[in-house]
Amino acid sequence: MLNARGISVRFGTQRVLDGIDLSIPAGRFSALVGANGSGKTTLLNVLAQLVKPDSGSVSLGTDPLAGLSRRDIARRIGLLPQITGTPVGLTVGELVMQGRYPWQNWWRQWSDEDQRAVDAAVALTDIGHLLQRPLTELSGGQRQRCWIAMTLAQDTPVLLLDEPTTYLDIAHQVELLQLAADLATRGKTVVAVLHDLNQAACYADHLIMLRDGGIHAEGEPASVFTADNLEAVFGFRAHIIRDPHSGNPLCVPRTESAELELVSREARL
Amino acid sequence: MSDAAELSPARRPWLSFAGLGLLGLVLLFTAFLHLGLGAKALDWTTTWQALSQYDPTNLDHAVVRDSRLARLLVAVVVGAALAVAGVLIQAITDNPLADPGILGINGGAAFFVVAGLLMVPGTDFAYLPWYAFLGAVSAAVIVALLGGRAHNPVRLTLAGAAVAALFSAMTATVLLLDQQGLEKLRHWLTGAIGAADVSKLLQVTPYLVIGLLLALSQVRSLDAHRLGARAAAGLGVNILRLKVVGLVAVVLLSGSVVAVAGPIGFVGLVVPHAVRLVVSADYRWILGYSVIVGALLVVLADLLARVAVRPYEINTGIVTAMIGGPLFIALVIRRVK
Repeated sequence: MLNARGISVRFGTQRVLDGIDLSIPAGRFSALVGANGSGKTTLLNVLAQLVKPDSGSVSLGTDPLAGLSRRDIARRIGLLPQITGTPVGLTVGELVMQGRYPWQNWWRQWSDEDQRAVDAAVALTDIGHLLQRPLTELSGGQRQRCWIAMTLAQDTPVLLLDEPTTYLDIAHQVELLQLAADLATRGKTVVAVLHDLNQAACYADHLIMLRDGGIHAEGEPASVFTADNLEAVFGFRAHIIRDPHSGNPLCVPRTESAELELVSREARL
Repeated sequence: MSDAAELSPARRPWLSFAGLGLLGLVLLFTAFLHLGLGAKALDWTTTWQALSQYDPTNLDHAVVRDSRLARLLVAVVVGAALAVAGVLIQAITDNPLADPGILGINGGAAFFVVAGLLMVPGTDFAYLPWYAFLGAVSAAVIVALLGGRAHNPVRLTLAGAAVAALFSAMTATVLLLDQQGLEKLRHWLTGAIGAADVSKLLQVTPYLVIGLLLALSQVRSLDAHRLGARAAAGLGVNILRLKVVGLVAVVLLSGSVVAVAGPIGFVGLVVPHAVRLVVSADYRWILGYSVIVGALLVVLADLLARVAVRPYEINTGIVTAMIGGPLFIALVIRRVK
């Protein structure tokens, strides 16, 4: 679906992405994980052409993105960046309607198609009761759902979400990941930068592990979510166990006391 | 779900129209006061008759028609143009402290106008707008470079203040070297609507119209840009184009104003903040309100300038600074906290 070939990005002398080849599978939920500074956000921005790579190219299906206008890209790829501020004086409804920006212009302002897309986005994110409220009055979790609704109203086949769960409490995190997974089953191609590894392994169909601007491992969670990969990517020593209910892999930190316990048990044997 | 009805593009448009109409009436009333009051106060019937039943032999009628009406027109246009420029520059720099005066754009335009008039031989008043545009662009580019790539409102504002101070010092230097020029330009330099005339206004009208149209062409992008530059880019806004078009509009609008009436500060700062108290969501409304409120502010300032120390006059730019300065300080204190 979304293919990146030989992507390299430098900021000054710093090499942020180094020759990345990546194919985002269509209609799946892909999670992008990696340590801080590994280039996740930059990669997401390159996929949406918000950052022009120093070398390499991105194509959607067979269309190279480099030849498309920003608006044409925004009709195909919705990108929700990490939101750092809240616009003052805007209601939820007004925010969601901004999602129709790439489909509107001066002479065609609000169509039935816009209304349908916005209503669908509002229903999917369950924010119908908030539409008249000012954004500044909402909790972080509610606000994040509104931003997602705006991106959904953009009605693009591809959705790129940069740390969408950051401001959410655990229940809303899970709800949002479930929403991302549902969108994928409805045929959308979803890519999200995630911090919680267990959530990524649990909800994503496809896991991409980034280390120092390169892809360390990529594939189904069951095959790439290993103790070795986690140690290589994050420098995080972990055990992988199975969720007794779903069978999904889970990582737990290897603690010193557990290590000692293991060693002493082995010594006794 | 009941939001099908609730979720419509315009939030209570009739209320916004009513507010705009009301402000328009206030502007008309103030404009009428502006015509009647002055060094010589005229009674209302005389003022009205000067407009409705003009008698060329009546001296009072001539005062209203020939001098005050022109002055009123200049005040209205100057206020509207500066207000729109202020809305644009606050939006594209994402900086509530931005204003063509504070960011040095007016100062750059003024310096080029003064230097052009006094130092380039054979300079005609017809070239004035072009000197002003060149100066406005130069100042804008220098401030943008000094402001840095990262979004930092305080740094941008400081860069603007420094550039404004620099241009003002250079203007003073040029004027000191030319005492006759000083006499001629001293008045204009503090924002003198009284010295402006309609022929100068007509000369810059095309640029004002282009500036306004450019501003209007960007309203949807401005709306999206309020969500933050990154979110707007994700929605398909071409940020670079928005900033370039916006800046060109600012340069045309404030350059024209400087050419006509000198560097009048703080209108572009005050008006957007006042307007946002009433309308906030939609840049079509923000711009519409700003045109009226900007005109109102400058007409009022000019009225004060003429009646405060009758029979003398203060310069209009000094009055707007007296209104805008305290607001600027209040905004800085609120942000620094």
